Amino acid sequence: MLHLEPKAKWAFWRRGLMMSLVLASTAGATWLMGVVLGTNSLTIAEGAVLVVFAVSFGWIALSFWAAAAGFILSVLGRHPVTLRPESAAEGDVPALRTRTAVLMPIYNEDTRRVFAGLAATYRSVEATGRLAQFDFFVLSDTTDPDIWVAEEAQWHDTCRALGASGRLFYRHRAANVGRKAGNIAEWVRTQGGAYENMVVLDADSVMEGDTIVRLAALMEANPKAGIIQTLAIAASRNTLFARWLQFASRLYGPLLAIGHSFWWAGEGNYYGHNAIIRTRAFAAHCGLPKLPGKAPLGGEIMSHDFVEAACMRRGGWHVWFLPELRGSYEEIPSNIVDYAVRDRRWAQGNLQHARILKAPRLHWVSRLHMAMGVLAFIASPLWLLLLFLSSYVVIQQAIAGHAYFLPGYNLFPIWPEYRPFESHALLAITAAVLFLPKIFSLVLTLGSRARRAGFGSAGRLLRSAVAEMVFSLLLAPVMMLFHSKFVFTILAGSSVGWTSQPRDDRGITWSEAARRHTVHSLIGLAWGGVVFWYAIDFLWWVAPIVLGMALAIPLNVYSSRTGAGLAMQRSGFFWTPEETAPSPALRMLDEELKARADWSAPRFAQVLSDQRLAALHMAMLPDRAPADHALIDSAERAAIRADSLEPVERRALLGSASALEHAMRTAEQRRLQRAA
Amino acid sequence: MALETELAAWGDFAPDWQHKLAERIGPAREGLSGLVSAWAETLADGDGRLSPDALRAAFLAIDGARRWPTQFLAIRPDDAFRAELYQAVPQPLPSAAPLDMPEQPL
Repeated sequence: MLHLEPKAKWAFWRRGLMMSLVLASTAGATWLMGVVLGTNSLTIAEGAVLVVFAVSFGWIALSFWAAAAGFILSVLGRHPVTLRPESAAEGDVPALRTRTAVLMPIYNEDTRRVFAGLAATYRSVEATGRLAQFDFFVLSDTTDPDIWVAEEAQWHDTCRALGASGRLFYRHRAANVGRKAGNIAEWVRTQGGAYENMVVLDADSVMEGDTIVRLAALMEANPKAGIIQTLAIAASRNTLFARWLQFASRLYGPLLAIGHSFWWAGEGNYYGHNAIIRTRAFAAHCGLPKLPGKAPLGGEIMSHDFVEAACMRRGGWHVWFLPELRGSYEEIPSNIVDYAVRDRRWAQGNLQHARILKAPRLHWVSRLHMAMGVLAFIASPLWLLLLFLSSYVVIQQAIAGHAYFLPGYNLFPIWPEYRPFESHALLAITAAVLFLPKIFSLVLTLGSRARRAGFGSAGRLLRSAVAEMVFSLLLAPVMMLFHSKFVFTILAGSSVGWTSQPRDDRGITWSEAARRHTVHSLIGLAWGGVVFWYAIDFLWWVAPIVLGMALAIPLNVYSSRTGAGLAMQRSGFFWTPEETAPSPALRMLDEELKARADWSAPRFAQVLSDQRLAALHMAMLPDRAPADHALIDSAERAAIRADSLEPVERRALLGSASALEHAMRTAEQRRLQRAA
Repeated sequence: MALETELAAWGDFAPDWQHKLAERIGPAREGLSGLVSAWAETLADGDGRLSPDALRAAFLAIDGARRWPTQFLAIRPDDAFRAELYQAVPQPLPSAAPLDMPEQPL
């Protein structure tokens, strides 16, 4: 097995190299920008442009150098951590000595998809012949009574279909204290002692059995490893938006991941799922408190994963990111709206991290992860500010004209200067930093017959890459506006609740798109109009931005359509290895989804009339306490008409065995009275 | 609750079989619930972990009333019935294995 050797010395040099490259390139580009802007002295607006440019450029330079490191390591065939020609994805796996729990925390999810994904993962682990070392847990925080009932029924059916009774477990939590982090923590506190490791999945995760077994073996081979994170590949969605995103993340993601793994070393990050965690270390170091104050920046920690990784590292355990481990999948939002809604949640979670940056004894790389998370969202208003300021400077010059003489006596005029060499160099450097990482990935993929075939062919790959670039250019300004709004509303004190993410191919209607994007389109049209009116020469520079904003509504609607996605697929666009050669676990997912295609999810009211559902639910209930008056009242009303209960009453009734028994007895008595 | 109603909670037995069951159970001092508890102990092989609720859920899931009526309350259940029943017994969680997870300073 791969031996991960965390040595402070080599980690120091790698980080030193990366930081030097980032700082040097940022300083160079900022100097060029200063020269271009300040040919005739720097105004306040130009100075502001320069500052914002430096921060924004530093942000993209880090990704660029990570991708460059990933490219070099991939060409040389070296592992990003050990630098040896080896991979955690290859070689025999020794017999496992420890037990691992596979956890799937869920919250009001699509029940059919949850259990299809878990069944696929279970079957895939079974196929490795190492199933005896693994148990599976569905950890439900579901609050919707109908979904709760459906989950129990589906869990029981899945256990029977897989012969997994006593290995596939289900727990429903009455109160979802601490959200997902609290859900996992509750399991650790009650069940964690029986398992050396836990593999945490998301509700839409699917993992290859071989990958899970390798993760467990890696934990055994590396006793100081606290977390090993895999690179989750987006798959299985069919809208145009999702197919585009799947293609982009599949083509460009691995290279960036390898580069980050190189300099993160044993101070990696955790993304909340598709990772293995040492249970005792997690219990000892990752109990998260509530932050002082109210949401959005106080209260429960929303993006718990970064913080848990930082706490794990603080406890002396290493956090590794091994992108070469394949067979790790997730699903992504199928349209721009759902993508933005997810980002809104993430934005709040990441901005909350700003309050944790000063936490005691954190490793500086852990602090950097959190700072980068903050910057990931702050970058959008910064870019927006940069673009607005640039437009303002240009328009101001166009309106005022050039000042040949300063106030007071001047012997000589100040002639306008233009620095074409510096301007073109700056443009070339910025374009290189933005597009070279993509070209690195393209070159690497085109250079391998197997990789090319995974994306269809060289032709399909290239035309998809061009289409991806166009789509990215159009989407980026809209996301910039979304993120900017998120940052401002969060800083203004607005918080979001905890809702489950839509996990199917959801199309967006014209009215919904109009509601979401009218302001974006108006901003784009107004911006373009002003630039056109005052400084038409500058229009080409802002065209990609204002065009993306102006076209936001149709872009959202058409890209959310499954028909458009499949039409592009037939035309040879956005193919990925996950569809040209799906792995066994993805094929099993497909089979499991088909097997459940006709399954009709039971609902709350059926518990009172369907003996099988009722018996199953009663067998699952830990609460045998006598029901209070309010519950008895709910039970009696439910016996007459279950639909008349409010969701909160239904949930309370489902949670109490005695109240439920009372409801069933009352319903039976009513039935007998009617029959008599 | 009438015995017929209690029996109906275990599924749709054939009417004549349900009548026979009622005749057999009726005189028993412990009643149906007592017989079910004893049956659950028999099926649990003495480890005492099969609750009557879980047993009923499993019996209903395998449609025991129709497919295995003679096994209901049987003192020596068939191996085939026992195997099928075990696959359907809901086991929500294994035994507890608690760990201490203290809150960390942030």
